[in-house]
Amino acid sequence: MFSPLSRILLYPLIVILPAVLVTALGATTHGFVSELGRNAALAAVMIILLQGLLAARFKWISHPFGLDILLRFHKYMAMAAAVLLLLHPVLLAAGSGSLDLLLSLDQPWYIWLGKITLLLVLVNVGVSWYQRKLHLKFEKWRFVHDILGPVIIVFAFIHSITVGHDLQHPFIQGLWIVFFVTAVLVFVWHRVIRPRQLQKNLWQVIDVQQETSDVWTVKLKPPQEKKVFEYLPGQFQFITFFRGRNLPVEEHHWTISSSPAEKNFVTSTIKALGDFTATIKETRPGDTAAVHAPFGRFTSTLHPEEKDLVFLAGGIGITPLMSMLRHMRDVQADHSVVLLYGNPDTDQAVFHQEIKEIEAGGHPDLKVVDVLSDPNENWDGESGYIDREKIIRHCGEDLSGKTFYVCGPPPLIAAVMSALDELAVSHRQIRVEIFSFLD
Amino acid sequence: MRKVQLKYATSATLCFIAAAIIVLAGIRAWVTGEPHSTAGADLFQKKGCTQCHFTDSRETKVGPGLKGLFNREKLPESGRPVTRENVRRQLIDPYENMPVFKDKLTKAQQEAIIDYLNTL
Ligand code: HEC
Repeated sequence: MFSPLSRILLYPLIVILPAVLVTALGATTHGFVSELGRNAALAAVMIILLQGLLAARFKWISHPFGLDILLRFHKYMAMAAAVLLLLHPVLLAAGSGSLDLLLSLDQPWYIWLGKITLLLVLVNVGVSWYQRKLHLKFEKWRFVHDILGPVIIVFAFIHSITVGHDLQHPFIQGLWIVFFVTAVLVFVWHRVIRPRQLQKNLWQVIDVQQETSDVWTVKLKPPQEKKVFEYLPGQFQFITFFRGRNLPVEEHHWTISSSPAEKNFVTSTIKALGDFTATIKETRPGDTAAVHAPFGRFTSTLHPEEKDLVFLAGGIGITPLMSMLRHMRDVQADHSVVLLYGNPDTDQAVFHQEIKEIEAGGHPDLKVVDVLSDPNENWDGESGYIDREKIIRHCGEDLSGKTFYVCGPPPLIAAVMSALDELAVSHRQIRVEIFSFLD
Repeated sequence: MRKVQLKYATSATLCFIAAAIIVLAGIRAWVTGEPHSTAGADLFQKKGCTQCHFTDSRETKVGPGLKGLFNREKLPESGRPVTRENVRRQLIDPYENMPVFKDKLTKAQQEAIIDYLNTL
């Protein structure tokens, strides 16, 4: 039901629906500026009520686009809603020819509630947009977000239903209530009910293996002799570890590094980058975990016609590409892949040994080029960073017909993207995995 | 690249929403609204509301000026939310010193007057 394109179109149509209905059914009319101010709020509140649907990991909604992209859309739309809500009182004041609404302190409670809601929206958008600059930890941000989100929904609803005489038509009011209730239910489902369900079917840690000085691979077995869910190499999973021993219980997402050909376990290969991941080495076989998966569309299997691939990876960014390489090995795929793999030195190159073995195995037809930024003296391979020259040297002058998969830390992505841009590679030939949902 | 497509999709969505709310505001301001308000304006005159209320300012005559009534956040004297219901209530069961219009105005006439107030 509904092609991806029509699902995209559905969104703006739902957003403007209340404004359309108020125009068709509502009796009130004022000057243009006031009406615009009203419409701005009607659209903004709809955007806010729909935010949960975008973020709640519903497969029907996320599948055509990929959850990572959808979350970014969620973020952009939050900014749009904030702008519209800022315009709302300004336009209303301008339309009424008096600044009372903006300046007077003598306002009824529901106007103050509206002002508080606007403030909360600005705070919520601000902390999400500038999470990194504010040095706000992901978990803290998420905690704040999980509180502000529902509070904003409830406040915006109360304000709109008490103030808005345009919402008093029974049909519009009914619809408004339906949207509100849906938004609340979506939140409760996403944050309360589903996590409980996942906790009823716990996976088990069966192995924790150290890969390099700060990278570990955690191997998970599905509950009750079940098989692993169907996934595509390169997709990611949400994991909540229950390890006891005073270790934090937080949900995080990691790429699946194992091959989907393996039906008895999944692995995620995790680098100690933050407070939580620093504890990953404490994970032990026998610990349990709630797993929500699979998500994402960073995978070559969705494009079977493309056989000529270039993988540009930096550090732990190898994980989705490793899953693809393992899968190609397991199904004896006939792709040709050039992997440019950036690391400080070979000791820190995760999966170094296994990648060499895949290269020797012949499926896929793999050429591995290690690019080391801090090699020891005897290193005679590529040194420095992945750049334009190295891409040409190993992939040839003619890059048409090749598809590039890029994954790594933000500086690597930025550098590689500008190199590919200089080489006139069309963005259609480039697939990038963006690790953090907040960037 | 999907991020580029996302930028296009987001810009298109935002342009669509912006265009829609501008056009809809225009429709409400200029197309609907006007026609059925003359009946209300006549009644406002005939039933004597003008004796006590200005329609072109917020100044007090006997009662408060009613210009932009529905653009306000609350009714001028009672402080109740500006809803059709509350204005109707003022006609039937006034807040303080205004005469009662319960039997002097039919339901339809009340609605016409409220429609008129809505355009001020
Ligand atoms: C005799 C003078 C008088 C007449 C005639 C009169 N009003 Fe009023 N009106 C008032 C006063 C005084 C107030 C202040 C509130 C009160 O005392 O109820 C008022 C208040 C109002 C209010 C604001 C109510 C609020 O809650 O703040 C509205 C709306 C209104 N009148 C509409 C009308 C309409 C419509 C008519 C004609 C059908 C009308 N008035 C006729 C004196 C009058």
